[in-house]
Amino acid sequence: MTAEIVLQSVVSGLMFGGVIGLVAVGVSLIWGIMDLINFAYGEYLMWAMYLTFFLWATLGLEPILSAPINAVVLFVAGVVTYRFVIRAVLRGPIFAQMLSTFGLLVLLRYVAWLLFRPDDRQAQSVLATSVLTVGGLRVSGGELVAFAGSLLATSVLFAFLKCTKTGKALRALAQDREAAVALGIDADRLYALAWGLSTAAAGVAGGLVSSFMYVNPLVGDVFLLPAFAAVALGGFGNVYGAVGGGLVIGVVNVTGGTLTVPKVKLALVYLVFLGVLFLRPKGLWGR
Amino acid sequence: MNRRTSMVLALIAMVGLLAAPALTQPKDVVLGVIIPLTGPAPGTGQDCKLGAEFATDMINGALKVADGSGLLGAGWNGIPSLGGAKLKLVFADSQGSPEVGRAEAERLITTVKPSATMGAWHSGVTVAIAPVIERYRIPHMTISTATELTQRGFQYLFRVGVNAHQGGEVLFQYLDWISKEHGKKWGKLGQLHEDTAAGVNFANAIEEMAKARSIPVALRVPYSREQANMDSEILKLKSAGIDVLVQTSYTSDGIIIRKTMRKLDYAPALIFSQGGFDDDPKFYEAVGDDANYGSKRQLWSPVLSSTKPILKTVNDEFRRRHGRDINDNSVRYITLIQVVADALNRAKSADSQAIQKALVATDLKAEQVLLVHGVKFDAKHDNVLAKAMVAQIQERQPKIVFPPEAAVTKPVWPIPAWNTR
Repeated sequence: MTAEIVLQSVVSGLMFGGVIGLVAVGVSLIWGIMDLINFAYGEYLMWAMYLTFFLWATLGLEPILSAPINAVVLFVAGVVTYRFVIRAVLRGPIFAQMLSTFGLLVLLRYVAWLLFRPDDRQAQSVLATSVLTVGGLRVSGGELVAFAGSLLATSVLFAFLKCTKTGKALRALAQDREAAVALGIDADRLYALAWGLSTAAAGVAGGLVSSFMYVNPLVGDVFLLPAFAAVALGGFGNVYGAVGGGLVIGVVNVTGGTLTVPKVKLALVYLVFLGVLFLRPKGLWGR
Repeated sequence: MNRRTSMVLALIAMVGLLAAPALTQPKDVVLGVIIPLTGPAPGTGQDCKLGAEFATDMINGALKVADGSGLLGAGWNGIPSLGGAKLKLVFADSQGSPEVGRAEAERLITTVKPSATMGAWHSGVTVAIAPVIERYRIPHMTISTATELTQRGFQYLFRVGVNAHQGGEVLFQYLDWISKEHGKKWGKLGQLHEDTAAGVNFANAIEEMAKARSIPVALRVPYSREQANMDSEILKLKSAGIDVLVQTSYTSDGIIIRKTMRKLDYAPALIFSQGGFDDDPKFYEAVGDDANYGSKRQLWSPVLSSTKPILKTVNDEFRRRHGRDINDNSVRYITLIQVVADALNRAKSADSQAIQKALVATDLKAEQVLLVHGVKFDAKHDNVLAKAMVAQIQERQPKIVFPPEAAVTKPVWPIPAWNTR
C-alpha cells in the first residue's frame, strides 16, 4: 500500500467525517442543553433528505442548494416537536423522555415508509459528478461542498452560542438549569429554540449528503450510529467536540477500512470509541 | 302437469341451459408472484412483473404477435388441456427483505391458494421463502442465482435461469478468449460483493472455478449494502492492483461504487457482474455514461434473431407496450410463466402435486423459450441447459460481445482510463 493511497483515505475520511460531525452536532446540542438523547434524530435527517429529493424531482433544485430551505422547514418541525411531544414528557422520568424520542423514531420512520415506500431514491447532482484533484488527491465536488457546508453550519452555530445573548442563555441553561431560570431565563422558549436549531442542523446535513447518498426510510441509521459515536468521542454535550469526533470517526472508518479489511470498518469505529471512553470517559474534548 | 307447473319447469330448464356454459367455463389457474416491487430494487421487480404479465397475455390469447412461431404458448387461448383455463397472476411485494418475502409467501399461499408460485429475485429472499413453499408443497419457480438454493434437497423449488456456477463459467471462457484475441492484458482477479446470499454465493463460485483453473483470487472485498461511503473498498482494490474485478451489487450500492471508482480513478481492465445493478434502468439514469464498459453475464439478446427471428418480433411488441427492450429480468419471468404453463398443460390439472410432477419432466427446447437456452431440470431442479453470454455496456446498452457467434459488437478491452473518457 502506497503513501498516496493512505493519504487519499485520510482525505476521504475527513470529507465523510465532516458530515458525520454535523449530524453529531445536532445530537450533541440537545444532549448538552436538555440532558436528553434524541433517538429520532436520524429520522429528521431522513425527512430532510426526502425534502431535498422532492425539491430536485419537482423543481430541479441542485441538492446542496436545498440545505437552507431544509434548515427552515426542519427548524419549524423541531419547534413543533418540542411543543407537542417533548415539553409534556420533560416533567416525567428520564426513561419517559427517552422512550418518547424512540416513539418519535418509529412514527417518523413508518409514516415515511407509508408515504414514500421503501424504495431508494436519489437526486441527481451536477456537483457530485465533478472530481477535483489536488496533488494527486481526489475529492468529488459534492463531498467537498458537503464538508465545507458542514463546517460553515457548525461555525455559525458555534458563533451563535458563543457571541449572542440568546446563545449565552442557552449555554447557561446547559450549565445549570435552576440557576438560569432563577435569573429570569425562559427555559421553555429556549428549549424550543434548541430543538429547532438541532433539527435545522439535520436539515442542512440532509441537503448536503443527498448529492452522494440515496434516501430510503431507514437511511437515518446509516448516519446516526456513527454520529452517536462521534458525540461520545467528542465529549457528551460538547458541540465543538462533536465535530472533532465526527472527523475522527470518518478517518477511522475510511483509513481504518483501507489499511485492514473494509468489512470491519464500523467495528473499528466502535473499537476506537470504546478505547477512548475507557481512557477518557468524558470523551476526547469533554470536561 | 298443469300449465303453471309446466311453465316453472320450462323456466328452470332455460335457466339451466343458460347457466351451463358458465358451469363448464374452466376455472382460472392462480399463480403467486413474489417480487421486489418496492425497496432497494423496485426497478428490477417492475421488469419481472412486466415480463410475467407479457407471457401471461400470450398464454391467455391476449397477445398475438408470436402466433405461428414455435414459442411455447404462442397461439394458445388459455391452457389447452384445461379447456382454455386462463392464468391469473397475484403479485406480492417482497420489498427485497427476507422477512417480508417469507411472510408474503405464507400469506399468498394461505389466502389466494395459488397452484404454483414464483420469485423472489433476491437470492436472500428466495432462501427465506424456500422452506415455506416446501412446507405447503407448492411448486415454486425461481431465477435467483445462489447455487446453495438447489443443494438442500427441496422437492418443490425449480430454478430456470443460471445458478452462480453457470453464470460464472462464462467469465473464465471470456477471459481465455479475450486473452487470445487481444493479448493477455490482465494480472490479478479480485472480487467486490454485497454480503447477502447472491453476493456471497457468486463470490464462492468464482473462487472455486478460479482455483480449478489455477487462477489465484488476489483479493475479496465483501461489504454491507447500507453505507454512505465506499472509499475504503475501492482504495483497497486499487492498491492491490486488481484489474479483473468481479462485482455483485444491487442498484443503490452499485451507483455509489461506480461514482467512487471514477472519483478515485480506479479503472480495472474488466468489470464483470452477474447482473443486478446493471439490469436496473435507475443505475443508468444515475451514472450516465460512467455505466459504459462494464461487462455482465447476459441471458437474452433480441439480436439473436438470425437464429431465432421471433425474438425480435416479441421484443418489438414488448417495446411498443412498455417503451423499453426485454432485459435479463423480464425475459426470465416470461420464461418462468412459459415453464409453468407447459407443466400445467402436461399435468392436465391445476393441482400442485400434479404440476410438481410435470415440472420434473420439463423438456423445453431453446426454440420454445425466449432465453438463449432451453429448460430441462436435473435431480436438484437446476436447469442443466442454462448458459450465459457476456454483454458489455456500450452507449448505456448491454451489447453481446461473447461468444463470438452471438456477438453484436467487439468488446472494448481493456476499459479505458477515466481521464480519457
